[in-house]
Amino acid sequence: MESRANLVFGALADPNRRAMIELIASRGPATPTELSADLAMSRQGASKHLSSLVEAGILDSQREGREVRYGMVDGGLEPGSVWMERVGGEWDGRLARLKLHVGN
Amino acid sequence: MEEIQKEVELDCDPERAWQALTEESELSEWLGGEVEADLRPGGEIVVHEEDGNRSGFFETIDPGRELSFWWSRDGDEESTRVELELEPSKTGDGCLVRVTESRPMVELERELVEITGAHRQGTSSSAETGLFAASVFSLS
Repeated sequence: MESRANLVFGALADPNRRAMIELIASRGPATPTELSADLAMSRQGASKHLSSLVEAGILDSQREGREVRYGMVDGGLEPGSVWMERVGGEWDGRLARLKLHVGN
Repeated sequence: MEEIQKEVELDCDPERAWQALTEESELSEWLGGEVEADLRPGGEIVVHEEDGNRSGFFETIDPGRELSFWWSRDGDEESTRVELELEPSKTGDGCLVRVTESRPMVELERELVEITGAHRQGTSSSAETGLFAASVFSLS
């Protein structure tokens, strides 16, 4: 769990990678060529960022002819980092109430 | 596995804590709304929250030690698994409650996509995966 969380936070720490996720999340799967044009970076740079996002389990890849297309892993499900933040916050609240409740 | 884990130290003894984790009137005090809990494997759990219900079923119950259930919010296609573990405190009279909430369906979906080579689009196949996951986990 620790390493998975670290991979996710590491992947999200870079503004270029966050921009990629936002583009893919809003427009759908994209190729490194498309992303490098949209984000004004080299195709090689885009590929490198995409690899780390795949490694973190945020994106996955599908071969399409000669290109590889990257999409959100979760699709209809909530992206991992968003889910962890929301659910973690929910349990913080519940456990704080539990502690108060049994303390009485 | 995508999961979060949280712990809380309670000042009460483990017996009291187990009550708080399992009895409807007690759960209703802290889980997030009025709770209905049929405490047996396969039994239903419903939390009536302000903005809708959260419901599912119990998977395992190991009295005094741990319990697990699956739940999802109304309208969500994804069910998640919650495990509550209880242990005596190492430092004093109290006890420790550890909660782990995980998303086994995300993993399952990944595996299914690998197996079938299916390129998932939209939400319909997620819902199908959910049904599949629910059947696998409720039977195991």
